[in-house]
Amino acid sequence: MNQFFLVLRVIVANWKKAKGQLFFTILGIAIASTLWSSVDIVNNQTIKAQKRSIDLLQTAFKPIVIDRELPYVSQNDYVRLRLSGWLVNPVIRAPLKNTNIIIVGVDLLADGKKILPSGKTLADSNFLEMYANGEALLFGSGKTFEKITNQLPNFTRIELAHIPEDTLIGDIASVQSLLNMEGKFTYFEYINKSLNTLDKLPLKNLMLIDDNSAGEFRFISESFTFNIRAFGFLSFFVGMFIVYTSVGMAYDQRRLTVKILKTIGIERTLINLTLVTELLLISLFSGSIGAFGGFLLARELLPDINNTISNIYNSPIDGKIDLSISWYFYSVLIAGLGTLLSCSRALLKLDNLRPIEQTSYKKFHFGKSLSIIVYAMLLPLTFTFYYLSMTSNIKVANFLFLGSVIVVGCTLLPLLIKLFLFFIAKKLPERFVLSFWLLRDTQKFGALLFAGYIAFFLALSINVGVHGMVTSFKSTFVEWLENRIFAEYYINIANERQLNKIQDVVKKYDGEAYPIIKNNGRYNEKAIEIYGFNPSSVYEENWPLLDKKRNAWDRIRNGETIFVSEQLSIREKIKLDDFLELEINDKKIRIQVGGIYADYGNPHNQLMMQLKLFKTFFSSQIPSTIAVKLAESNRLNFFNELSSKVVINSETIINPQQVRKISLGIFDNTFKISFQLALITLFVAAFTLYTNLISINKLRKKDLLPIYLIGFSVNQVIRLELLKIYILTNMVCFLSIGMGVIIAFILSEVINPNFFGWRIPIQVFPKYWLQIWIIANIASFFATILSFRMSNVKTSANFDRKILRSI
Amino acid sequence: MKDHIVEIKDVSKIFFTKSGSLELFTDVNINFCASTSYALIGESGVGKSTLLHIASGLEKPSTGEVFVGNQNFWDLKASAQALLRLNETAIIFQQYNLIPCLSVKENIEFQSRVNKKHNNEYINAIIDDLQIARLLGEWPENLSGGEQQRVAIARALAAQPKILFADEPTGSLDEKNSKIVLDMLLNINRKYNTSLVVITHSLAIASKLEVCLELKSRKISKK
Ligand SMILES: Nc1ncnc2c1ncn2[C@@H]1O[C@H](COP(=O)(O)OP(=O)(O)O)[C@@H](O)[C@H]1O
Ligand SMILES: [Mg+2]
Repeated sequence: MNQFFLVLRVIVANWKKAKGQLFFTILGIAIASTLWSSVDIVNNQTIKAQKRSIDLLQTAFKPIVIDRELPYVSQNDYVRLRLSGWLVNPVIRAPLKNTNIIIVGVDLLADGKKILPSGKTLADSNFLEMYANGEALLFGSGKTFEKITNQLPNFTRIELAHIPEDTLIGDIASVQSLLNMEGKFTYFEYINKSLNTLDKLPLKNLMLIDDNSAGEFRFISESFTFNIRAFGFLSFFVGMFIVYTSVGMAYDQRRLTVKILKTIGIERTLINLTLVTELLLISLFSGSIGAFGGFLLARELLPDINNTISNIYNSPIDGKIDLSISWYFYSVLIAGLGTLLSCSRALLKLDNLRPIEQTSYKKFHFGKSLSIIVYAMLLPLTFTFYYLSMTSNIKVANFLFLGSVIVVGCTLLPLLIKLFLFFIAKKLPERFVLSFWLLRDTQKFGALLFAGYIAFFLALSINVGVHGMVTSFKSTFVEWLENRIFAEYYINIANERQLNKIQDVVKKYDGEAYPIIKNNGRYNEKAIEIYGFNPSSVYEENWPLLDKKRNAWDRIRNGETIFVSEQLSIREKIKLDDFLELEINDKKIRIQVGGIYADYGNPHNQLMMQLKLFKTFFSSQIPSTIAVKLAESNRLNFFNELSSKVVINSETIINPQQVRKISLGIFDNTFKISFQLALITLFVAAFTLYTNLISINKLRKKDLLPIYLIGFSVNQVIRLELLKIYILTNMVCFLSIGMGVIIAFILSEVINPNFFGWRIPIQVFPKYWLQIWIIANIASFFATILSFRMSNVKTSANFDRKILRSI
Repeated sequence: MKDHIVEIKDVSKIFFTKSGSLELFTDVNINFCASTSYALIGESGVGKSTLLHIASGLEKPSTGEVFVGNQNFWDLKASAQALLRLNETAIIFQQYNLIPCLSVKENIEFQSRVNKKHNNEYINAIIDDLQIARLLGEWPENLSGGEQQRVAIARALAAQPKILFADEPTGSLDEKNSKIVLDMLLNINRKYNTSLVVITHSLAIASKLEVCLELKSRKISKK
């Protein structure tokens, strides 16, 4: 133990001569873990908000029981349902007069936890007591209450920030009396969640409606966290390259110390142990800074995140960030692991140092053979991962495949640069010696700047890749949405009477109605959603089919074929013209696939068939939605008549414009954050280049001295150095874009189909590339200039003095 | 009297360091003439290297002037100074004389091509004289110390400078190699009329050169 501390002291003392490197090491770890932990916080907050919002959404989209004809269900129905064993909760939901506020009445005792922030129960607060005292409670957010300052004087208002705006929740009895609906409810919530076996309702006048829309929102937020997590991981990685260069440099300087220690007879394991201990101490310190920095950065990013989340769920996440001790340890642990990983090469190098051997930078046999083994393993591994991700259900294989492709790219990068420069130099006529030397020296410079440029390469290529995928998705999605939502209105149908009324109004205004009807069936032992629709020419003109035969529309009109969604076709490997055995409502049918349609954003398996065919399985079911197409001039009148005479609340009329706006808003916000993170990552890459430049400064001076001595001015030498950096940066940019396209391709061809079930046609975005390219050039230029200033190369006397003295 | 190639006039040099100022020499005057060989001797640390740096334009004197040909070196712009160093003078050290990323042949041709005095026959003659023909395809790092110095001399001479400064060129070589390198230097001085300034510790070497200058007690004196 005593010896351990003695050795540790000697080892640590080395930093005295390498204060710069120590600083950069700490900074590198701190930056990397700042980025990582900020992304972690953001993701945690997102997931937290998601959970609660999905709970809320599922309340709204819980299967509900309504009356077939009347706009309400009665106390009588309730009692009879409960008596026959149905678990239901009565709910009142209606617009508040003269406002756009929705008031909801629930059974506070049964449903109270729905209102309160997660983890609290009604008993925790004094609400229960107030309730028992007969007070009429009304829950809502502060903003909502501001809109009704003078109304509802009989209610005790309780502010809860997490309740969506324009929504008020009260006890069912008080809401009933407020709306004059004694003994009546809008619907019953069906609590028994297992819907796969459709329960038969005991009452003829009632019907069960279910809607799975919540799943779609979950998908969008999943892709959101996925996106952010990818960037977080990337930035952490890029940041660790700073550590890689500075520790590598510092370790080169302590070779002599280690050699002496070994000569004295200190055990190798003890030396390694002290080295690791030292690194862990540094990463504990820097990781703590990083955790704090992450907290600050997350706070900066969160307003945007907030925006996105509230777009998705209509409910803001609270600005408060939860930080726990375990989270802190987790951040520091990640920092420690990252540090050890990025220092492993330097550690191995010191470990291999023999006391008798001469100090030499080149001879690192173990490292060489190790890297040869790694290279040799890389290609078969990549193919294995590819094979696994295409054929098996192992999801990790997808990421391992992407990761190994990126690693292959990183190993190819220096090789390609070297070959390219080599061949150009070879082709030069003999008299262009200066250019020849420039190319050769660029090659060497590039090899020394390996870490900096790999960081650049990663930052740029992943940026281009993720951007390419997300933007392609966006534009494909928007175009698809544009066609898919061809009607002016989509109206949810509550009952048959309502349907007839709506159809009357549509007729009155010369519109066309397209009913859409939905139920469940099974294919290959898996649940699928079955849609019945009327395949008219409007669908034919607007509906984007990914794959079809020439007479696809005629055949589906005749009920000979069905269309399946892309998700279903990819997951179940269904091709055009395949015959499917379907099991629908206890009947079996064998039918051919006539077309495959895109259905982005929907995680479910789905197929569509002609309405008449659908009716053979579900003869009495009425459409759940109808799409209405109207001439422009009739729209306003139609809407007014519809909302005043037929539909109880405006929520059941979906305005596609609104849907479009919300979807685009979500995308835009995801972009904003991704772009911010991309910029930060590029900045970190530039910083890595900067530390790399500083760390090789001495070596570089020796390389350049002969040129200077031959008769070049210092300014000329510096200009030539800048030119080399410029050449290298642009080559890296060029290759990064190539790599970025490959990444985008893998994301769309492998990861998206396997994770979400659709394939997006990848597009290219030269404008964005140019933008990124320019930013990269500016960043590397400043990194170079600053590193020159830092090492005083600029003042001509200093360039040679130190070196001349060392000769 | 022969033409002077580099002239040092009333030069003194003071270094200001953390531990105070260090005056190396004061009012030194030297006239380096065409096709003459000089030895510069003196104890370690007296400032020989510094004087050589000043003479070759690498370091600015604290006071005094340096003329290369007829031009006052420190009155010129940096680019003009570089041009003079490229065309008129050459300097070699104990090490770091060769460009690591170029082969031996490319190293030798580099300077002469840059200053446009490239002459194949001339270079081939030098390569023969220095007996380095078999090394031409090698990388500098694969050469021995003596070989490296011979290549460095070839590189310097290929550009046809008027004067060649050498700071202990044989300092890191063994006796045998030192003799070879030195003989070659003298041979070249005679054959191509290149002036030669060599810093050395060895009086044996110094005695083979035409003029012997000693730096001692801040002054220069002929021996
Ligand atoms: N750039 C410098 N700054 C400060 N002191 C220097 C510098 N260059 C050389 N010296 C000092 O000047 C003295 C002479 O150095 P140098 O000319 O190399 O001597 P020599 O070549 O005769 O051994 C030494 O003591 C050295 O430390
Ligand atoms: Mg010296």
